[in-house]
Amino acid sequence: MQRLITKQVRLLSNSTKLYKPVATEYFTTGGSSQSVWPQNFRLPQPKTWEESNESALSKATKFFFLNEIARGMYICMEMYFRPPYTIYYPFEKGPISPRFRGEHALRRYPSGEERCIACKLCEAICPAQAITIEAEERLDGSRRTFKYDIDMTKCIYCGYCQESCPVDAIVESPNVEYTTETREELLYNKEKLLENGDKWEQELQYCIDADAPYR
Amino acid sequence: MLNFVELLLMFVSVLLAVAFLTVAERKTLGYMQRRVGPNAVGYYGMLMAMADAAKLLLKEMVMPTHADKLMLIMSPMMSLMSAFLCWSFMPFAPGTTMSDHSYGLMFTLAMSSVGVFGTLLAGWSANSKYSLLGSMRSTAQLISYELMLTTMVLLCMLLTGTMNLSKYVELQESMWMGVPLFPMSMMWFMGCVAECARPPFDNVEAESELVSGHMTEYSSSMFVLFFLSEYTSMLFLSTLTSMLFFGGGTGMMLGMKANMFAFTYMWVRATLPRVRYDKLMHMCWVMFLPLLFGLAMFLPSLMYFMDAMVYTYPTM
Repeated sequence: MQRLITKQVRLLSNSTKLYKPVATEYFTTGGSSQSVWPQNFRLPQPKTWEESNESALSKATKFFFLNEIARGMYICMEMYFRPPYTIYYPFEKGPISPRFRGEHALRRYPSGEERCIACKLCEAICPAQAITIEAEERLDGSRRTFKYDIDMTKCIYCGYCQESCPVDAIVESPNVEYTTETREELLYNKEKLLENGDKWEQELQYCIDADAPYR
Repeated sequence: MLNFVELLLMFVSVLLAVAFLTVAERKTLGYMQRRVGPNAVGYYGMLMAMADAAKLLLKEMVMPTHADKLMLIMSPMMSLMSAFLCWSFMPFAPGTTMSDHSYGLMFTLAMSSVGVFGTLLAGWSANSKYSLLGSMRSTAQLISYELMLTTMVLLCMLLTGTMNLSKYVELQESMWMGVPLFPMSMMWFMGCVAECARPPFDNVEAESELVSGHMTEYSSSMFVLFFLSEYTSMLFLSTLTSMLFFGGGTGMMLGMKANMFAFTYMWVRATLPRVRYDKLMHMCWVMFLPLLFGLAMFLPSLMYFMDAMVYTYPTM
């Protein structure tokens, strides 16, 4: 008896002419071959009614007593009594990476001499062409800029200027709170950038130290 | 004069309740989504309602050029008036009501029906296809669910044998109507949510899919009227829920019950995603209404049967 059942019975529906197995290796999406789900994707096949051993009574109870909705609402209520994630921004601030790219600054050497040697690499690499540099020989014979402008309204904060600088002169500070009331105030000149450098030197040094092992 | 002061006192308190309900909603939704919501204006954002009102009222009123101006102005007023007039027969305590009328519940039903005209005319008068389509959708939804709510109110009236709300509440002292009619009270609440066009049934102004439905052409103070009428009817329906099924109450007790239902509106809003429009209509016409009409046949038969039993076996 047992053998009879397990034996492969040749039926019309089994024949390869009529029954072509559909793609069971993966789930097709909407019949298109453009986007198929990867094999063993995490969603299992939903159980059919005879596979799940759930009684009709249980299903009816779940339906009429809004079981799923009640569970969802319970979760919502649980969240209601938990503390919010809110950071009270002007009073509290979230952590930022040492590589954070914010407002620009021009740094100095500890001696007070400005670092920038007017190589114009930053000007060359700037994709937004926000940087304008003019250079000339200083009285002591060193090569320095006399004009270093950054148009902050053009800048896209990509950090290429910082990357390209051979003497770590132009950097992007972690500061983001430099909104202004007029557009003109965002056209930074050399004095403003050096002032930023003096103001943020400590933070910049912390950032550089924190990032040093990865450079 | 005293009557007028009384009336004013009640409507001002309803208005204030509605104003603070908006803040309560934003705070509740905020905390359910693990954020704080408005917290800057006043203590813990309590005065956000005033700030919102000031913002909305000071905005420019944009009038569509080819609109039917009279209807455009009148329709939000109609909505608001109907939402307010619903409150007029609401007993806040025994004898504490604007009018203790023996057909109070009927009048309330009639008034809540008038509100649909506001929605309908708003869409028609604005002379904009978005408004019109939005108002068609919302009108269809509102009248469908109103049918459901009306049927349920009629059944409740049948069981208690009174249309006077004060008397109705008094009759529930022995037992809340929500106990024998628990499934119906759940249906009632779902119907209320749909009738107020609140999420998850807010297909009227599904802002991620549509322009804001019948309110598309409204701005500033006229929009405020619609906004107020929505929240007024929401508060009204939650009060009515506590009265019809959960025993009403006196003063504070009623307020607490009504607040609980108003909170549930927000709770449901925070939990559930929007239902598809055809499913919404399907739920009303294919699931709820046949069930209710069945109940409308079953309950009178049951009452008749029980009366017959009492007459036949008086000693029972």
